[in-house]
This record gives sequence, structure tokens and C-alpha cells, in this order.
Amino acid sequence: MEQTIKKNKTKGTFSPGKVIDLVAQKRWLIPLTLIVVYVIAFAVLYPSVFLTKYNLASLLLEFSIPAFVIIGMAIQLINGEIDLSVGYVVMFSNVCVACLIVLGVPVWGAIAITVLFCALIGWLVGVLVAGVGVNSFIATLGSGMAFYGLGLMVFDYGYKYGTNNPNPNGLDLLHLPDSFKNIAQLQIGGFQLPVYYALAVIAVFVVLMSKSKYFKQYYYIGMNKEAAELSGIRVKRTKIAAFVISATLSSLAGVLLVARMGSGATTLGVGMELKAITAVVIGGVSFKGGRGTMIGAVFGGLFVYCVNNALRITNAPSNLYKVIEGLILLCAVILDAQFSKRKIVG
Amino acid sequence: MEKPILKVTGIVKNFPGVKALKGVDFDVRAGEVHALCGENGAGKSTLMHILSGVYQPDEGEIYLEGKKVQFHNQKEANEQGIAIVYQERSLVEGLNVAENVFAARQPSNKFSWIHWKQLYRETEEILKSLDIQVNPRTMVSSLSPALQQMVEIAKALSLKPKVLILDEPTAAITEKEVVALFRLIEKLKREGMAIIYISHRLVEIFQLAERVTVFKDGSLVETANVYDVDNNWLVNRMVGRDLELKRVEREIPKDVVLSVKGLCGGSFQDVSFELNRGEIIGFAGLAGAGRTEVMRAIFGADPILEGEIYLNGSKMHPQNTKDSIERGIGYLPEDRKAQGLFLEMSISDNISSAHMNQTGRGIFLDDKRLLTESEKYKEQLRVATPSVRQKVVNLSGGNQQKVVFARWLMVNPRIMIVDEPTRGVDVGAKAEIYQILREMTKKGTSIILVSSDLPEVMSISDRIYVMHEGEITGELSGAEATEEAIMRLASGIRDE
Repeated sequence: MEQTIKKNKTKGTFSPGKVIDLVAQKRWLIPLTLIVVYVIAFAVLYPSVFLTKYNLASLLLEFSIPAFVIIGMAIQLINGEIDLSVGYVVMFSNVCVACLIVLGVPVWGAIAITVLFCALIGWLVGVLVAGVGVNSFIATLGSGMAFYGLGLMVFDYGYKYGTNNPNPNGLDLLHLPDSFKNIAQLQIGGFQLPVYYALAVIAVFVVLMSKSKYFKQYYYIGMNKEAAELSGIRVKRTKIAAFVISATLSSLAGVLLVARMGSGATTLGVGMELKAITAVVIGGVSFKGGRGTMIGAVFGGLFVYCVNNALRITNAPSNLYKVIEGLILLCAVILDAQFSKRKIVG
Repeated sequence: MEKPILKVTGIVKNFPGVKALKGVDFDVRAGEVHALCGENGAGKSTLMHILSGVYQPDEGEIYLEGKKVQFHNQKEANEQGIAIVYQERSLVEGLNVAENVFAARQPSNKFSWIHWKQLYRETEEILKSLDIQVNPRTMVSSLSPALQQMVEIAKALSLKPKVLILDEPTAAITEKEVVALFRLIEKLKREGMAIIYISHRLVEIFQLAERVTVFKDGSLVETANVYDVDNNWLVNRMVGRDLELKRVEREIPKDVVLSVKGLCGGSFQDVSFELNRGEIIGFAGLAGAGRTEVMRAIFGADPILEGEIYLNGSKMHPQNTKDSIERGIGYLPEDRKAQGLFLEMSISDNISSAHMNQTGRGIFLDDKRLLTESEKYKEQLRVATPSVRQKVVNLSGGNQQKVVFARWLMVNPRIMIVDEPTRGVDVGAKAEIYQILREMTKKGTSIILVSSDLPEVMSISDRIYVMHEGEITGELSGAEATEEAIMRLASGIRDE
């Protein structure tokens, strides 16, 4: 019975209603379609620029580091919360790890301290939201601001320390050691390492989100916190874990970003939260919580960076980036609202 | 015979895969209460949604005072004189009564500034005309459910409708408050209002209505004068068979599985009781007596301040719900939409929410097994749906409740607490739920039934505890319990 219905769906006549129903159920089809359209269009229009390995490598590299942030954001939205601090966590981490290295902390120690600190703050914010009941929008806006300010202070300190205590090897905040930069700048098969890190992290979280018991809990919590609690789910601690995961992933993104760039900067990562929200929402993760898939969020992210790529290829003025980004976010939210309204009766 | 004020003919409404209404003729006259009954999913709500402009019919016509009308949305229906009070509250809790009554159409001056004085004056007039004693400046969140219901009706009446539709207005209010509501309805009737009244409580139909119409499977079965029919006739038309609650006297051997001693919590004190293996104990009382709070505390959802709980003779301290479930306690909450269901998730996800952590290999879910298990319970409880992949939001109330039951059958607890298991559920599904409870006890599960439905408590329970203001005021054996005895204890009158 069910099989015949399914057959009819794919084989039957092509009607707009059916397509919309299908897309409403598999929202990741939207970004995937957009990506395919983009690839075909630019392969035809700009074959000499677009169809090069260099372009593909740079597109994937651009996407790879924010992918960490996007994964965290997807978990947070499915969890029924929002995390506006991620961009500033990225910014803080990049400055912090750079500064620690300049101060003479060994590379892996600097990374560990930075990531652990961010995770700890993520845990605190999680306690504020899940335990105390503060709205996550406000809590993460506040923690983000604090991260930003802290990042600026750390940068100033590191910069002054660097100029007052010149390093014999010529290292300072703007010139980080190769041992650190190699983490992100080494290439394998023409692609820089972050591309492979991202692939691994994406694979792990796509599987965890769709197959693991623990992450399934986020769907239940995001859909109905109360019912989840009464189903024996430890809502508070699970919610807090989402904040820790999001902060940790964002912090790792910050570390990779500064390694890739080779110098710490107070502009890195700022505004990334909006890109991440755009990505996950266009990929079908809803603001209402409990809905959407990790693979959709990843496709959404890839699409957002395809648009970046397109703007670069067409030599669009850089300020236009922001306008386009904003418009895509709006479109994604409108789409989300429209699909959420659809009630499938039957 | 008086001419009907509202009349519909040949209404057909199809949803993908479902014929919700199959050509319905229906009318209501001024100054009458026309009751609608039928099982969940019979088509009552769809018809009301058409009358109030939420849905448009695929076929058929609507006549208002003899004139053919069409509603494209609820606003148009309101403007032409049809107002509806839904079962679910539509009030904004953070605003006061007046702001709610005139939501979105506050009296205003030419700059669109709200004319507050006029707003409060008009609200006061409406409330006064309805004998509702509420200050228009009171915050809605501070009102009792019954008063909120009244405000809801005041809001509908502020539209000055000719036809008022009430969808299960008594589902969430107490007996005493029902009396006040009925007085209001009688008053409106005398003033010539045409009222369509939907209810699962058959008693109310005989108290209030002039005529009654029974729906079944999208068709109108019959419309009759209430004076010509009786309870059995109604039930018979609704489910096609006779249903009667019969007490089954059972001898429960003493084998205590749960013993609660001197339990104190936020809103209850010194609660002690015992539960035997395979026994059903009822908890009766008025709304707010603290029954739900006691159960939540035992289930680990609320903190315990004092007292002891013994499970199979060993002391337990419920820390959280997970802990309690692992010890073999289940809890079916009173508000299935807010506390029980994940509305936009699949039936299968809903059924397996409490059990998914116990299945599968290592950290991974066993989707296939959860699906087949859900399918099994869906069949066993006869949840009316083609597939367990359907979203729960598409099910009727009774079927939704069966889904929550299925969740606990999957967990198979030794002690099952059910809180108002048949609230807002139709007669047929009610009988099935009682059947489920009895089946569970046969397998050795003990059940605590919290219910405000006295006939239900009396016919299902082996023993009954009655609570009043956070304390147990008495214990009755199922056989000796009468409605009067329970009500005495529930109002705090202890044995002399």
C-alpha cells in the first residue's frame, strides 16, 4: 500500500503541489538545488575561472572553517535555542590562541587553553539558559559582547607584549610560527587541511544527529521541552551540552582561522553568526526548534559560500556581499515561515 | 416552526486522502442551543471551521438569515455575525481582560491611538451584561481557567454575533464553574442567540440543548429533539453500539509495590497511600487539590520536601524523570498537547520517545526496531492512521491520547500514573482507554488514576483516595464509593 503511494509520487504526473509537499518534507533539497543551479550557471558563464581546481579548492576552504560554526548553530536551533555568540567566540579564540603563542605557550597548550576556556563559558551560558531560564537570544548576545571585548583586550595586550619583548625569531601577533600555521596551511592533494577537518566533522555530526540516541534528544527537547522531560530526557543537562558543543566548535573554528591567516586579527569571525543562521535556516532547520537535519544545514552552508564565490568571480563590490547575505537570510526566514504554516492534513 | 438563522446545505470538504465532510445539511435557530456530538474526527470541527471561515467548503452553501453567504476568512465570518470560542484558549496571557476582549480592534482616535477609557468602559459593559465578575484591568494570566473561558466568550460576544459556536467549553473547568457557564448560556439563549454547542459530555446536552445532531465519519447521522431521545440513543448513534461503564469487582491481594509516607511538596502535605500489585487506585478531588503535583513528585518531575517513598519495599528518592522511568514508573500527563506530545513529529517518534534510549546498539538508535514496535502498538491500540510516519498533529484527540499510551506500553512500567487520561476524548476512545488500563493490570502493572470524572473514577478504581487542598481527606473502597461520598471528601468535609 505504502509502496504504491511512493511510486505514484515519483512516477505520477508532475504537479506543483506534489513538489512543494516533497520539498516541505525534505527541505535540504532547496540548498542542494540552488548549489546545482549555481554550479551549472557559472560553469557555463565563467568556464575559465569557475572550472579550475584553484577555484574549487578556495571555495571549499572558505566553507570549511565556518562549517564548524554552522554545525553548532544547527544543533542549537534544533535544541530550540539560538546562539548569537558564535562569531565572537571565533574572534576571541583566534586572538587568544595567537596571544598565548606569542607569550611563549606551546602551540598545543595554547589551543587547549583557548578551546577549554570557550567551552567553559559555553557551559556557563548554558546554565544561564537551561537552569536559570534566561532567554538564549539575550544570554548569547551578552556573552558574545563579552567575548568581543575580551578579545579586543587580549589583542591589545598581546600586541604591546610583542613590541616590548621582541621575539628573536621575529614572531608577534601578526607573525605566528610555522608549526602553528601548518595546522591549517598544509595541503594534501591540492586542498588545505581545514577542508579535510571539515569533512570529518561534518561526517561525524551528520551521523550523530540522525542516528545517535543522544542527539535525537535535541529533536524532542526542541519540539516540546515539557514532554521531553516527562519522557525521561534530562532536558537541562542536554540543553547545556548544546551550548558547550556550539562554543567548542566555534572556538576550534577560530583557532583554524588564525592558523590559516597566519596572524591574529580582531575582525576574524565577526558576523559569522548571521552567516551560520542563514545557512542552517535555508537548509531547513527551523527557528521553532526540533525540525531540520544536519545534512540540510551543511548544504545550506555550502550554498552561502557558493554565493560568496559567485560574488568574487563576478568581481562584485565587497559591500554588496553584506546586502546579498542579508537578503538571503530574509528569504530563508520567509521560506521557513511559509513551510511552517503548511499543515499536511490526511 | 421558526425559521433557522443559519443554514448549510450539502457541505462537502475534502482533505488530501480524507473526506472530512460528505454532504452535510444543518441549521440552527435563534434562541436555541443546538448540540453537536460525535467521536473525534467525525467532522464536527471541520464543519465549525467552515462556519467560522477558517476553511472553505468544496461544495455546498451557507445561508445566514436566508441570504447566501461566503466566508473567505474568519474575519468575514465574524463581521457577518458568526463567532466561535475554540476549545484551545486564544487569549494573550500577558495582557489584561479588556485588551484581550478587544484584541486587534480596540476603539481608537483618528491617529490610531487607543482610546483607553472607552476600551475599559465598553469591556465593563460587556462583562456586566454577562454577569461576569472580572475587572477589565485584571491580567488574564491571573484568572482561573473558568474565568478565562468566560473572557473568551465575552470576546466572542463583543463581536455582537447572531450565532455563537462553543467548542467543548467545559473540557478544562471544574463542576462548580460549569454551573456559572450554563447560567450564562441560558441567559444568551433567552436573549435570542443561536448557539452551537459541541461537547463530549452527554449530560450537558440534556441540560442545555433543544436539539442535538450526531456526526459520524464525516456524515450527519441524525438530528433530533433532545426531549425525544436519551443517553443510550446518543451513544448508539455515535459509536454504533451500546457502551456502558460497568464496575468489575476484583479481589486484589495485598502485595504493596508502592508505599508513600508523609510526602510533602510545594502544594501538598502529608500524603500517604499504598498501591498493590495489579491494582488501580483512583485519585479524586477538585481541580487544584494537588493530585497532579503529588504524582509529578513521585515521578521525579517536581522536588519533594519531606516524606518517604518505598518502591517494592526499598526506599527511593526520585531525582529526575529518567531515574523514575528506569525504576519502572510511568506518567501520562494531564495536558496531552502541552506535556505529552511532540505534535509535529511522527507517531513513531512520539511512541518511542521514552524508550529510544533503551534500544539500539551502543550510542546509536535502532530506527527499524522502533518503527516496527511502534507499528505493533499502533495496531494493538487501534490508532486510526495509515502509517506511523504520519505526524501526530494530524490525529484526532482520542488517537493522540492512544499514542501517549502506546509510549508507555512500550516502556512497560510496573507502576503507571495516568492523569486525566480521557479528558477531551470521545466516548468510543474512552472505552478503549479503559480497556487498555485493564489489560495493563492483567500483566501486573499497578495503576494510579487521577481523574475529575467521577463516574470514571468510581467504575475503574479498586480503591479511591480523595484529596482536598493538598491533603488526602479520605480513602474509599471502590464498592462503597458514591458520588456524594467523594464530593463530601473533595470539599474537605471529613468523616464525623
